[in-house]
Amino acid sequence: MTLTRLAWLVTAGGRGAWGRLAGMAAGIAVGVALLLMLCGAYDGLASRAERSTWTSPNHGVDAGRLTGPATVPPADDVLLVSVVEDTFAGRAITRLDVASSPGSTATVPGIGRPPAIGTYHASPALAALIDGRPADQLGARYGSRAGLIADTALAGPDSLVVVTGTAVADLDPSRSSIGFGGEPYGVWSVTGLRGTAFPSTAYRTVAIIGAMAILLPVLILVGVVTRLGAAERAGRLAALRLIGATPRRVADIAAVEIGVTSFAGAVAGVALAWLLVPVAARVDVADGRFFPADLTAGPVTTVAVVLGVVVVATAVAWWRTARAGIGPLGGSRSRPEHRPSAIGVLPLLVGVMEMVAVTVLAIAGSPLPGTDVLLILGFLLVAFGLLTSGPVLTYWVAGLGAGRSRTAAGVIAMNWIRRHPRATFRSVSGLVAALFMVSVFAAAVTTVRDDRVFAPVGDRIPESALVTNLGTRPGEVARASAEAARVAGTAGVTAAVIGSHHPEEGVVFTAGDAVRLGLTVPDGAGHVRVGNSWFEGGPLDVAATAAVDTTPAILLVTTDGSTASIERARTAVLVSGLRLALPPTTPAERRVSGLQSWADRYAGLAALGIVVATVISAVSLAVSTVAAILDRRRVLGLLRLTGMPVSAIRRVIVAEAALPLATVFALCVGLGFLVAWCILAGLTQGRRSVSWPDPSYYAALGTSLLLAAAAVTATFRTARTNTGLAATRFE
Amino acid sequence: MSDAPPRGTADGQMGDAPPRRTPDGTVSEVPLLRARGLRLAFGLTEALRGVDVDVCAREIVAVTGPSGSGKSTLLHVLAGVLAPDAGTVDYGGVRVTDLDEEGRSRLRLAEFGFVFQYGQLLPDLSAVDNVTIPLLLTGIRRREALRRAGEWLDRVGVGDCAARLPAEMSGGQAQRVAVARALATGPAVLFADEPTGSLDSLAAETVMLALTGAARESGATVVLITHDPRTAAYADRELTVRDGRVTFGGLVG
Amino acid sequence: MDNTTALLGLLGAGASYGYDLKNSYDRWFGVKKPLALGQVYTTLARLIRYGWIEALGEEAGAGPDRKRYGITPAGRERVMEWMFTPEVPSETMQSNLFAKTIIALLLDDDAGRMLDLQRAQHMARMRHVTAEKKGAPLATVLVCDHALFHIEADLRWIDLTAARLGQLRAEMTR
Repeated sequence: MTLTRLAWLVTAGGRGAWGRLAGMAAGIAVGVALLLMLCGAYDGLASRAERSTWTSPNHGVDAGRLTGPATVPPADDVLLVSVVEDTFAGRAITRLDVASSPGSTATVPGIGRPPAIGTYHASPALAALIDGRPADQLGARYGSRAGLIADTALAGPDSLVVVTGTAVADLDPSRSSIGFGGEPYGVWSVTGLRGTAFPSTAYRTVAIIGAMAILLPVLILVGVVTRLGAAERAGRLAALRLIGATPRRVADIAAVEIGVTSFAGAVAGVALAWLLVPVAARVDVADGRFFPADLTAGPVTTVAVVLGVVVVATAVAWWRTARAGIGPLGGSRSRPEHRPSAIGVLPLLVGVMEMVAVTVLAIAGSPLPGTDVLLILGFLLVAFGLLTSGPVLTYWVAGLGAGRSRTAAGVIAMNWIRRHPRATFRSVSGLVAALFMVSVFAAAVTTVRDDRVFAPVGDRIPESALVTNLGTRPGEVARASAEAARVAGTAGVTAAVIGSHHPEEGVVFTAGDAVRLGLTVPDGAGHVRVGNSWFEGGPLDVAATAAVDTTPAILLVTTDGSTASIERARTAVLVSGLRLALPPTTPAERRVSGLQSWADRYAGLAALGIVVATVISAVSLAVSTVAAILDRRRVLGLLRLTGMPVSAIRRVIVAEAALPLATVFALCVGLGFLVAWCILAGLTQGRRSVSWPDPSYYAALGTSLLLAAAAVTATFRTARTNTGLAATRFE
Repeated sequence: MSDAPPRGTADGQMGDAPPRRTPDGTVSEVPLLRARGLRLAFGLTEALRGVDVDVCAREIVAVTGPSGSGKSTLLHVLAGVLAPDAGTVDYGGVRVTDLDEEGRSRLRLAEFGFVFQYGQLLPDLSAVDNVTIPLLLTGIRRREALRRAGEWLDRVGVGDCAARLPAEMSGGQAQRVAVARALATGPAVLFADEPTGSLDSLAAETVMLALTGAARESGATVVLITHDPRTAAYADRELTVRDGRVTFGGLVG
Repeated sequence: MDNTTALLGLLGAGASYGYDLKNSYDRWFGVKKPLALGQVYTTLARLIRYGWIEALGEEAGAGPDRKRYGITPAGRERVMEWMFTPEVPSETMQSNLFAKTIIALLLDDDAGRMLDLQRAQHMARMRHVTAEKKGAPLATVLVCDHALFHIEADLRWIDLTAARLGQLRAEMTR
């Protein structure tokens, strides 16, 4: 008899065997679908970066920065480009000002020939935004629309990008962006614009770590589903051993069974991924949504993933069966695991103590050499220790719980966990790892925001005020004043005043302008000096001063606070003839810029990661919960027969899923914050610390718990139907 | 269960005279379980073909018959696990066949105890924890449940196995733990389905002595399914099922 | 049961007086039917004649009571031989019951009912013997077990025959 036929007989023999195989195939299908999307997204991330980085002219072909102002239009194959960051209602817009000769042969990605002076090309999302608002709030900043930017030059459907045709004289080499996110300063001369897949190695590292973080739970899922009904299968394989099959042969049969099933599942997974991509593309991470094409894996990747999953699953099944040593008398009795050793907690303890010790020494002012390496080492130890100590802690807590449970369901669940702590913890380990990472991350990010000391609201610069650094040259003072007066006339603007730099520190305003700004002016002063920290949100420091220099340095526009007024004022400043060194920004925008935008980008990826990891962990959790019930279906069926209500079985399920999660949940969150504090405080000798994280973090936590709850609830029906009278019959 | 018949010693105490005891201490002649015209078919197989059965309070009835005769099905119908296609089952004043699944579950939990052939103990729970499960389900506090479970294990002679897992016990010990679990809630009727089916003669004897002794002490009625005459001999009365019919001893008097 | 060899076997456990021997026999084998003292002495005399036991001398006082008997090597050999010669299983069947079954079938009477009645009789006996076991000394329990297994054998035959009634009937009416 051939191997396949034998495997078929063994598989198709048992009652419920098809359900078990279907469950396995479904789990593998989900795993493969996620893997494919992950691979797609990883590739997509690169092409996405490539599509979004062409706006940095320093990456362009034959790029060179202009040192002085240009006056003559460039040659036909050359573009003069300046990139600035624009803002609308809190959303960042990438603005490229391009100057070209009328007969230019150079091209701009997504557009083709550069736009003529006074016209612009916008991304579809920006065009929609412009069309939805009065021109004086947004559209007037760019001129008249000549067309849209094609998707091939956009990171995603939500990207806000605009390319404006600009006169050479209007390109200002002294102008720069507020962001420190890599936008190059000044005017560049290029013969072509192009993107790069990875703007930095850090970006690539983050992408790889993110992929790994998702890959791990996917592998856990595949591992869990292939264990589905292992006890049942062991019984049937034992029957084969009894009639004379060698252990080797039995392992072969198990491998064939898993191999065929996983292949079917993998093929279904490809179809599933195809269906899921349009849905996943709608998920809005902080960086904007994805184009569906960015999430679709190529044919080579697809084949590789399918083959990889099938080969690995089959090999693991073979190895596991061969190692399990199924004797002729069977291993069908669910053997309790060995008691987990307390040594499992050691890495965690060592890691935590090491991190705390290093940090305390650093704060005390005598940091050890190589503190950063030690902290990273401690961080890895804690992450590893969390996974090794999970079963031990689960075992301990279940032991405590078993003695204290007051309900039948509690006693049943706690004792089950106590005998199977590893299997129980394995089902939530993916979630645990994700929770820990996201907690570290969320806590670490808070420092960026809370780094500065803010004055009380009444005492600091209004949130609705626009500050613009000016690059006015000595000869343009009068014109600047006139432009400022025009801006002051814009609807919703309460004041628009120009200040100049004080030689030592601060900005000098005339007494009249200061009063218009609502500042308290010392009696008799002609001019006042306002400390720089006020513009950064710090406390107000006003002193009388003499007029030292009258070259305009700062334009301060106060508004009535509505978004429309702020954007109208911003548009008025941008279209005025004022020579801008930096674009007009509100205090909030300045805080968010720079580091924060990068942090947000990573936070968005991390959020995506935890969502995926959570979904997978939830599926694994449901699968292991069902498996735990199936292993006891006869005895639970008999208990139901004696009158135990189904609700008691439901409570068993809930307790068995909730305990391991609850045991390490608080630990994950707590350790995450401790580790984040150690890293920050340790590296900065205690100058920085962590505080309460962003609401999105709580949302992520809540979502994980909801998903876990949904997964457990989904198993209720299976539990009920599998513990009916049929389950109690002798086999 | 206010409409259920009076219970035996629900609190498991031995001294109290249960209300069903007749003046001379013998079996009462009033049927506690009365089944009439039971019919049940599984597809084309007719498992019960018009069965009439009386079981009196405090008696031990053996149901015998060849394999496939419908013994287990009869037990399931009498205990309200299965609903018959036709016919009635009355338990005390309650028409069991009129109750829905929920009501029958409650009746089973409150009034009946069950012992099966094997594999009824939760493998991860010690003997004493296994016995506490039905007690906890009826709302008894853990400490009290543990105390009573310990007492019951002593009573059936496996007090020294209290801390052991089912896998660490012999078949006979495990069955006696099952008997303790079935009787711990003080059921009025104990249904035993081949309780000695997987045991050798000596173990079967200890189990049956424990089962009948404890059942008589607590005043429980026993419906005992067996194909083994020596096990059936522990009963007061025997009824024989053949081809879905009771061929002998179904009714009293 | 072979009383002679049983007594010889008891003496094999240690020399004894006639009266003590009777008591010992009754304790182990005579639950239902105690041995008469006279029979003990007759048997002992026979055993001496065979050379399997010997009188170990008399003590003060006259009478057969005061005589101790001990086993000889030949006697011990005999006990061993007896003990390790397996018994041939009895071939006597339930001849009566068997005949009744055949007759009932021939007379076209309800053989099933006849068997049920017989079964009930057997079960009643089993219940009786089982009840007797409760709290009884080990010797009684062993005797009861023996009886129970014999009745059980009959019951099994009855059950099997009941299951084969249709087949039997078909064969007989052919």
